[in-house]
Amino acid sequence: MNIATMSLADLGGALLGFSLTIFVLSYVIGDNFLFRLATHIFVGTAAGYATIVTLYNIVIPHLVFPLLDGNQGALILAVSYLIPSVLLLMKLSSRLSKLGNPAVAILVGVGAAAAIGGATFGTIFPQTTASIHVFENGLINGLIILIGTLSTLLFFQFYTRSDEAQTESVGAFTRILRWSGKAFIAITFGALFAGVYIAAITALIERFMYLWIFIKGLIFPV
Amino acid sequence: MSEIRCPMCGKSNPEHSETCQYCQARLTPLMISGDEANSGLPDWFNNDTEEESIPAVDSDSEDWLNRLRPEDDSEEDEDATPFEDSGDDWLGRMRAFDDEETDDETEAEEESSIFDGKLPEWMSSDESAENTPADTDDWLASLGNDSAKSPAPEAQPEASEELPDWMLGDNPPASTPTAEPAAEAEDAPDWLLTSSHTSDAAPAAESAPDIPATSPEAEPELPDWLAGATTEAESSSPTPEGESEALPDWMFSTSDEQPFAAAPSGDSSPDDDLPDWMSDKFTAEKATDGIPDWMSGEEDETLYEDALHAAELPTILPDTSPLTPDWPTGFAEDSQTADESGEADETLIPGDNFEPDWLGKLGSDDSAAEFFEMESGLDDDDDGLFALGELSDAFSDGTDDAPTLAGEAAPADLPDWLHAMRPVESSADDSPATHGPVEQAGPLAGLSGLLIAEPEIAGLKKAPTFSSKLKVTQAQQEHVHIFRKLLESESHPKSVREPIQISSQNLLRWVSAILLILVIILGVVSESQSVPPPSGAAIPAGMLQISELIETLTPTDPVLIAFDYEPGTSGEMNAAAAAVVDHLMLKGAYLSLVSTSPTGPALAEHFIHTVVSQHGYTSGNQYTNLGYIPGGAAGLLGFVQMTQHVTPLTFDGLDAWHTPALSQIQTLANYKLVVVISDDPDIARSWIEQVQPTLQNAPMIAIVSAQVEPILHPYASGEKPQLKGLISGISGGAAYEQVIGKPNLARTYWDTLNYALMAAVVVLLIGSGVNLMTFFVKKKPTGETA
Amino acid sequence: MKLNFKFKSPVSTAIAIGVGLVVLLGYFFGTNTLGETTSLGFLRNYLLQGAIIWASVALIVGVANLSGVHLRKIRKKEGSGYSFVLLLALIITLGIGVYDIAQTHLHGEPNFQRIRWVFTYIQLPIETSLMAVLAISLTYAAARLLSRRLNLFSMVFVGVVLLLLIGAAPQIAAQAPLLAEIRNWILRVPALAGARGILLGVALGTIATGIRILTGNDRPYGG
Repeated sequence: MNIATMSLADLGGALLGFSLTIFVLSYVIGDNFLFRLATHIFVGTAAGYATIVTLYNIVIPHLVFPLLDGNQGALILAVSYLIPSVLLLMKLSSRLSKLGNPAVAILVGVGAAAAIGGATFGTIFPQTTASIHVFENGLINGLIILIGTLSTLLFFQFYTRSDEAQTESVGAFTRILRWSGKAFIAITFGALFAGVYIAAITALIERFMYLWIFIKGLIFPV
Repeated sequence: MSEIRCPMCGKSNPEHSETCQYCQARLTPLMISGDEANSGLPDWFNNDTEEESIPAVDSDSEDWLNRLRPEDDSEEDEDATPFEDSGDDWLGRMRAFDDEETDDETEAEEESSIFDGKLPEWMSSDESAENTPADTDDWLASLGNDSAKSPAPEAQPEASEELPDWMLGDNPPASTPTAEPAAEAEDAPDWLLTSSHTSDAAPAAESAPDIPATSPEAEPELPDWLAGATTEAESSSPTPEGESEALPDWMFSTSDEQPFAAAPSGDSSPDDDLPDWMSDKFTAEKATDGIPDWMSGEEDETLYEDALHAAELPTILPDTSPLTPDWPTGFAEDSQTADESGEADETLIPGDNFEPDWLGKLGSDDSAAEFFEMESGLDDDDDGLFALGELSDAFSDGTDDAPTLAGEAAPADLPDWLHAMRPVESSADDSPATHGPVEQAGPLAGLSGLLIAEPEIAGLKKAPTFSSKLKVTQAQQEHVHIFRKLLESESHPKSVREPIQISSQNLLRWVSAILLILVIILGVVSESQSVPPPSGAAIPAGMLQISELIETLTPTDPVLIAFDYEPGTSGEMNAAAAAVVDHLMLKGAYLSLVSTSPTGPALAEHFIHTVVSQHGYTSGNQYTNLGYIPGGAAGLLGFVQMTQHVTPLTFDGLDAWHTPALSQIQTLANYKLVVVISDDPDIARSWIEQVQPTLQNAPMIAIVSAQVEPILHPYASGEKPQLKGLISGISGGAAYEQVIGKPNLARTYWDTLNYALMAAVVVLLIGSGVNLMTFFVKKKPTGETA
Repeated sequence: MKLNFKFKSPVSTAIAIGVGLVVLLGYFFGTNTLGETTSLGFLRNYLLQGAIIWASVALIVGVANLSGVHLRKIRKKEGSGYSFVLLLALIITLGIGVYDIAQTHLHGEPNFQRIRWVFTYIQLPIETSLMAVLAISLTYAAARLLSRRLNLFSMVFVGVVLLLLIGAAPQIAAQAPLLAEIRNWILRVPALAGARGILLGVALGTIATGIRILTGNDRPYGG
């Protein structure tokens, strides 16, 4: 960050970013006005930015331009998309919100079908196949992976479909599987937690680097 | 006493006010001057006024007191009202009368013939007031008979033919005794008009010669409710339920308050002594749920007190006033000239004051029973107006005397017994302060503590309106406020002051935060790059595969890069992806940037123009930012199926697919490489699930955050992994930089990350150690105790 | 599984089922053997493009709803200052964005310089800083992992975290290669096994949920 060569807008922006970073980091000493101010600015800005991107990237090219284009086919297509869009906007009104249900139903139906297809072709088949060939990684490792996969899967199914009273009456094999699945899940979650922690530490490093570069630029403008 | 409390509304008024400021009710009893009183009053009234002016002790008054006092002793409450004095008598007479009428119905016809031929002259001409009715007692008796016995309409079929116009019309002529109320009716509300009409028409019809009260032709002229009332009068067995249905609204209130108004008469006569119709009436009312105590027929002395209180209720007067206004004014008009009529109105004292008029008649013959029967009917059933009309006729008997009074007073008509009842002297010593104002006019003159008479004409104007709002005093408001505060304080938990103490957990919190921040600041400020990057065996095998894939690319080969991470992890993701993108740019690949997050396109632009800006990639020439694809998995599936349709424009608003590099792209399988940069396991999984199966031979690699790595590992492992390579976090980026031999952003983080992780490990070890020790220290005594 | 077929809104339910079946069948019959798009494929593509458009409209509805919520807060004086700031930031951003869109389409001035400035200097620093604050909170949480619950699985969890952090620290990994090996092994064997089980479980759950929607047994659209 070379402050000397920065434009006034960028300099002001850098100063604003620096201030907002300090505001948010002030949460370390406790919840305070500056932190809340920054978070509310963030929410407003993020919502506004998402709206602009959506308008510009989707709504205008797919709904507005076809209406102005003059192409009758595109016009009909755009109108067919426009009607459910208007119905969706009815969701803003508590009185008319039911009119938006069909549009939401389309979204849900398409999403459910896409999720089913994706889960089937993208996860179930490949991962099952990979589990079949798990011993290519070595016998012990393969066995561990197989047991871990099955026990974790069974633990989830078992855990969600039974209560404590039922678990007491299961057999020893199932109890071992459950214990095993719990251990594998603990390991996996430990790995996830470590990953999250590393990601957060990286973000903290990045912020301090940003602050340091800005301060350094102010102190030693090149 | 500086204030006078209004008997109507109970509010305080200035001492000298004559009428209530709030409800316009009269506050002081009427002071009747001799001329005015005499002008329209019967002779006994004249006597009263004379006695007031001459406060000589009259032996009659003492007699009256003597006769009154034993009743007071024996029946303390019965003498509360003059009605009660004669209550037993008239009830007894009424029963006798009732017996008579049941025994001999034909006699009723004979009596009704009195009306046929003997309409009083005052009823038939303007000057009737000056003419003494020929046979007042008789017609009064027949009046009672008429209402009680209810002559059959067919008994006088020719009556309607002789019915005068004013009887048929709604408005009685001015020549009738009720001319004044009729004239005033313009100012009166509708209901009053109705009542005045009925009260006029009823006695006129009954007293008119040759016209029965209930002639078939006359019935259509009557209001429905009056017709119903007549019918009920015929049946002589009023049914309250039926009444309430036929009554107008204002009559409901009257009916509701009848128990109070009729309390004295009702109480003074036990059921055994009651006529049949009254017994029926009480029986019917007993059947109702809301039966008052006094209606239960028990001879409780408190009932009389209740009745007295009820008589003082201010709601009675407004409701009864519509029943009685017509005749007094007629009475006044008949007895006075037109200019005196206004003053005469003031002499019309309702309630107690007019009782002696008919008492003079009732005391001597059976017509009293008839009258009381009518009076009871007025109280108890809905032919009250009808009965009142008769009542007005009854009082017109007194009016008949008025002309003689107006001209030359004729004070000799007062019966002895009534004369003896005059309480003037006996109550002269009563202090108003203790017993209320002393009645100064009428037969009760001299008595104190009586219900203040109110000229009903005053109540004619408008029924007092009572506010429907709850009247809350200041003290009550304060109580409500206090109670509300109490309730509110219940819902707010009191903040418990935590004792200021430096616990081990707080210490751990501050130590861990300060240690981590200090280490990071140290690493950042020092800009150290002393820690060696991963090399050799520390570099994952997937890095080499990725490098090999990118090495196979030729310039302008299209590569799709998904910038699907949030700004929060941009530091890590930029560092992880910098080496790969740098490698791609080194190979001259044409980049298509896309995202399923709204912030993705901006992050991509930011990445291109800051992290790998040294390559000078420009939009439309070396890369195309396809922008944002909403819809999650469905959006990605759509992007797979209709790549060019879903993203027709670039993030800059240009045509996305007309560039030479992208013109050949029809599906995502046409890309040479798909790179997914993501910090979200779900988004990364969506890309793998939706896009990867359609890529055919195009490889997919993923650059992910460290938090996603464990989840995506299964996709990158196996014989045929879905991900050809996986780079995670700073370590992955640094490793790839080592692979391509070009330090980049990950390298700048490397040392600081190393120190920060070491500090974190130290904190974690210390914290876990302390917690373990604390756990065992706490557990040991517990175990010993166990 | 007890099916609930009492539809409040049969039209929406029918739409969801029909649309879902079209898209799902499009996986199999969307193209013919020659790779050409079939009628079903066209219908599926139409619906997919519609889903993209309607999802973007739904995002706008969400933002409008957010605005409404904070407007109500301002009216009710509930944290009205912060809500005002939020709405002000939203309005300013929208204004700048609309201006940029107009400049782009009316005057051919691309690249969204102004809205990008907002993103770079406001949204990016705040969001990154929020993630940074998370690091401090997680440090404290990690230190207290065993204070809440101490059993075998929590100790396994803490142990894995410690090993992975130590293994990720370059200097320690360089000094103690065994720790790096352990880290890699954990990630590639037991963690992978658990992750695969989780992925399969999530995939199965996704399929089950999708089938419930496509059979009309689950109607999250208010049907």
